[in-house]
Amino acid sequence: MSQRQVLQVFEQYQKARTQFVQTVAELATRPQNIETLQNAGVMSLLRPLLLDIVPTIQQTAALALGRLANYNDELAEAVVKGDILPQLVYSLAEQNRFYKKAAAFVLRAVAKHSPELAQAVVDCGALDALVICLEEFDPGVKESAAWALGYIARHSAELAQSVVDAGAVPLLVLCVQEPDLSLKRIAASALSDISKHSPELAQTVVDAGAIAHLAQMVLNPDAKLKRQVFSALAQMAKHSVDLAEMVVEAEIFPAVLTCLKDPDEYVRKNCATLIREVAKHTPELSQLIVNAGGVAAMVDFVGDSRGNVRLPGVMMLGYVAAHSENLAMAIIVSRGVLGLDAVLQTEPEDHIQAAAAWSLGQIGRHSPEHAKSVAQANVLPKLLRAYLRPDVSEDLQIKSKKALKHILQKCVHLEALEPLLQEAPPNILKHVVAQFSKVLPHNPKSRRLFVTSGGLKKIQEIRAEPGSALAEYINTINNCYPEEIVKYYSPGYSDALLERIENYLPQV
Amino acid sequence: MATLHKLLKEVDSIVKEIYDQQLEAEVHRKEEYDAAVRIQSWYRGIRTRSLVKNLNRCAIRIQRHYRGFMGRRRIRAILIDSVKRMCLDHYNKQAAQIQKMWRGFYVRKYVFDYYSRKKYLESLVAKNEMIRSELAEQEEAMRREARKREEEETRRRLRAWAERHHYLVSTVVQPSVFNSPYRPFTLPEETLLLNTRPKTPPKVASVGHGFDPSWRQYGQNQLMVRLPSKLPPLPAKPQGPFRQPEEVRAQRYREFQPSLRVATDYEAVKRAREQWRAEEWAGRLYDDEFKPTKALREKAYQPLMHTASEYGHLAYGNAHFREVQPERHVTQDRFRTIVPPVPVFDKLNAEYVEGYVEN
Repeated sequence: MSQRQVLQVFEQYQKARTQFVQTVAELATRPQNIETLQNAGVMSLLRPLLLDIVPTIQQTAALALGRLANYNDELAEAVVKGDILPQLVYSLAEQNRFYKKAAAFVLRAVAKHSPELAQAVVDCGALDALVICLEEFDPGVKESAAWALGYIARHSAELAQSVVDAGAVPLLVLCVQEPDLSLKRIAASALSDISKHSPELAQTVVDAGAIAHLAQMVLNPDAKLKRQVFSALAQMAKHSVDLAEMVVEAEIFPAVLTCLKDPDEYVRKNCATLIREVAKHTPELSQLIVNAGGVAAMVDFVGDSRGNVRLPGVMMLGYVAAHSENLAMAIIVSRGVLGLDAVLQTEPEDHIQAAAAWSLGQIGRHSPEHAKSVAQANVLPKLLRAYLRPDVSEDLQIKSKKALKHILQKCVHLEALEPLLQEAPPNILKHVVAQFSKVLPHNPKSRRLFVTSGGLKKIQEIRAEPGSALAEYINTINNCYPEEIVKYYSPGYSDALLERIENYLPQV
Repeated sequence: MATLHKLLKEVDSIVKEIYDQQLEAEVHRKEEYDAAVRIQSWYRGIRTRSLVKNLNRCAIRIQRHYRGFMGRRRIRAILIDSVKRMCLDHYNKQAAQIQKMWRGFYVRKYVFDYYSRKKYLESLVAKNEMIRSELAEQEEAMRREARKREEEETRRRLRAWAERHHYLVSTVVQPSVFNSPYRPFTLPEETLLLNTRPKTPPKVASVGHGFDPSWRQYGQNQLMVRLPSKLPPLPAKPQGPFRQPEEVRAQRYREFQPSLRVATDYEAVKRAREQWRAEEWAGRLYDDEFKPTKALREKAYQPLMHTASEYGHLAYGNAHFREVQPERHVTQDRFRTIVPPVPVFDKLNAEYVEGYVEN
């Protein structure tokens, strides 16, 4: 046969291979085909194609493998078991940029499912190869490599430490400065995944100078980028006071407050998370946020958002109020109590209600002024109801009880306490009655009001064990009034009077 | 003797009297003895009592004087003590007064200044309002932008749809779906279709023909042999003397006559080389290279100094961009430069050390 004919056979075979691999790659984009492909044994067919001489076939085979592994973790495990990863890692160092992108995609698809698979990827020596890819010039390659590193680092602190040990962090910080938008997003997300595990990792990321660059991107118009940036800054700031101070020194306030009004809700949520992580460490940081107008912005945010999105906002208000009574008063003045009250009323989820109850407790527990502002917003009956409802979670019960206790111990605003006399269970009732017993002996006007509003009657109806604290308080209150009035309101007095009629001899 | 006789006569009576008197005295002896004892005892008693009383009186006097003395001494001590205590109380009160004033002042000024806190809370409220209004403005601006982008997007989509679906426009004979006779009005899609210029589908570039310099027409449809007889319309400005239309047409539609260099494929040389090499390989019988002299045949292989150096093989270029191998440097010190340091770098690059070059 002539040379041409021989070559033609090879050309046909090459065309067939190309077509097969391209079709498989296209089919793998749809989830319904993947089961069929798996049953047809596509893994064992794709593996030799990875070593093909034609670069296009290699790249497309790698792409197809990546899409398959992306779908579920069984396929990813099959990729790992088929010893494909060492080959990929080896060729990551050698081949052109399209292949590198595809290979990094496969690594990422395998690593994303579980920590064991990510560990398998790391064990093949993928980290060094990926870090070398981060030094390439092509932004697509860098993006794939950064994405893979981010997925590896996401699972656990050890994996993140191995990523850091491979020297990825300075390169990721360089990637964040690139002009390509998607690369920035991925690099920011990878930095966020690395720094979320432990303070040492966060310190490593901060030492590479990440904060300044991330802070510059805070006012970028792209929403997805802002999500990642805020998430990264929040993960860095949450570990310790020094890190939070470094984040604040990058001058993100007050620019960050505008992002609380962003149309994208996850940007708002991550922004609120960042502010919460900064505010929770020390009173000085909270004071800084309050002085920048952060509390007003946060209260508006809590009012406008719904569901899980507003949870960080609610917690931030609680943390700020917990530090000092100055800050708690600042929150009250910024209408924070009304906002939290709305959350407590309208949210269906238990954990958000629990957070709102906790925050209200932190606000109200500092002094009688604070307790009065909280009580005047009609919050106490709602807290009581949250405590008493039979179907609530234990967390909400405990938090609302603690909040009630804190507020009641400082509350001397008697009009707000009276509704609680009716509904409260004994352990709460004892605090309510204690407050009454503190105020009534010294204030004649309140004594009169207490009687006319029916409070004294309710007190008489309370049954207390003699010798308990509740009985002492009731005694103190009864001693504030003349005996006749006390007897008049005690239950069964009308019967006692009627009995006296029976024993009375009429004087003719 | 008469007396004696008298006396003797009386002796009996006297003796009897004596006996009677003795008897009486005997009878009354105990009484009188008791009485005498009583008188004596009374008298002794008086004497003893008065002695004891005197002694008592003396003792009491002494004790009285002594007690008075001790009492006065004690009272004096108590008095001194109470005076001291009164003085101390007084000083304490005065000191407490000073401390009270100082503490009140200090707390009110430095620990909790009610007026400054009031002012702070008021300014905080004002600042909150300001921030709220600013944020509302920015939110409004963002929303406006988003709305504009959305509107732009919808307009673009409608235009793209209309450009592709021009065939749905109604004709005189056949009204379209949007201009249905059963409907009292035409739908807006009809006007949209009428107003947009239809987009023709993109011409698929013909594949497969390699560049052949002998082709006379390039970049034109091969089927269209006839050239247009009319040139495109001229712009409005006044034109100079015109050339002949045939000349212009010939010039305008002149065939593409690329030079040989332009016409050659970029990879032609490489492909030609490879083809030649493949042919040569196919026709070769012996693969050993012919070396004419023995010296050439048996020359020992001399490795490059470059690779045989004891300092190791420095890879061509570096293994990767920005690689440094500090352990292979001659010394860990940095180089000094003779160029003076640039002050801008201090601001921008915190790692730049004055006078030294970075590794």
